[in-house]
Amino acid sequence: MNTIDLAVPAHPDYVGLIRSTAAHIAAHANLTIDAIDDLRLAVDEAFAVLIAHKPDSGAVTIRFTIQAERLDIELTGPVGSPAPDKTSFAWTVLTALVHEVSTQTSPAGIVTLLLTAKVVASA
Amino acid sequence: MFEQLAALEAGTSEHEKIRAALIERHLPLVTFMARKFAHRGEPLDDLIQVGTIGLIKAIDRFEISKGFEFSTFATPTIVGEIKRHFRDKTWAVRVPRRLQELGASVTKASNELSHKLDRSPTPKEIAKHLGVTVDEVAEALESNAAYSTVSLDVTSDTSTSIADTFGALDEALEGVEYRESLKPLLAQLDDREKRILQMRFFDNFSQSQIATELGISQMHVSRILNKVLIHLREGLVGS
Repeated sequence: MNTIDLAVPAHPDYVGLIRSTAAHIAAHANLTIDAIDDLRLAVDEAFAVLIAHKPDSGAVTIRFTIQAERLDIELTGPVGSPAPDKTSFAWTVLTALVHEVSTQTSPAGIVTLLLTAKVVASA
Repeated sequence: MFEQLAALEAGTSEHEKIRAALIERHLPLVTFMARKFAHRGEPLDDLIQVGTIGLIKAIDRFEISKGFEFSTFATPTIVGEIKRHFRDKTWAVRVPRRLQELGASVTKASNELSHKLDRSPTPKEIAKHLGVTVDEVAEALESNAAYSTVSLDVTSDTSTSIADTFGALDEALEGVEYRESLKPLLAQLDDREKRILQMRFFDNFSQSQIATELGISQMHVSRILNKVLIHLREGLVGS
């Protein structure tokens, strides 16, 4: 199991950086081309959800955890971002793009989105 | 056949029939021209698709009385459309030639392996197939994704009517919040974009399956999805 941590300002300018990083890590984690492209879209969407409320304040931290059968991406928003609405279009998109999505809000009001992508079995 | 076409009134079913037959008859010319550009990083299917638009334009503009051979007349129009496709989709960032070429090989290998494995391949499998490293494949995928997404509005001839697609999508959105604010944004999408959105997010098709279904490349599907999601996201934030 390997982890990679990244923290970027909560500003739309940085979405490209985490999208590319996610794609690169996914390529090494043995995801399929389809799954990598889906992950790019999912990371975009998740980042947008976390900074939608108050862009340009605080940071978004991203932790990638590479395991044999899965890649977990945990995105934690800046203080004050609202918990994502599970009936929103963004949530529908996220659930279609990755194997699993879940969200947590810490007692301090910090929202985390966890995306899980599956690694192809035979690789 | 061009004489017959000229004698008929445009829009009549007879005219449509002969026009369609002419398009079909000259498709090999489009394929031939598209192949000449196939090594430049764009999938052949996409080039044939835009080249066909050139062919249709040429058929509509051709005047037999001027005494040219049709192929002589059509070739510059077809090539023009293909070149325009490249110009419109110039690289968003400057990508070194080596990477552009590797990008083309990766796309080709990805298609071949998809057929062989009956699923989308992994970068490791592509790397092995091409005799390069996973890092190089990852880099090439990144540069493929860096193509500008500005001009994707090449509409394909899908058989679903707009009403069908929109009805199904509208139904699928039942229970999704902001449904009302999404509606006008969805209305701005073209038929194919709506269909791809529906297939990927509500019918659970993979990008590769959509590509096969619509006869375009997976990379193209990915770009269209990206463009559509950005459009919807910006629209929702703006409203």
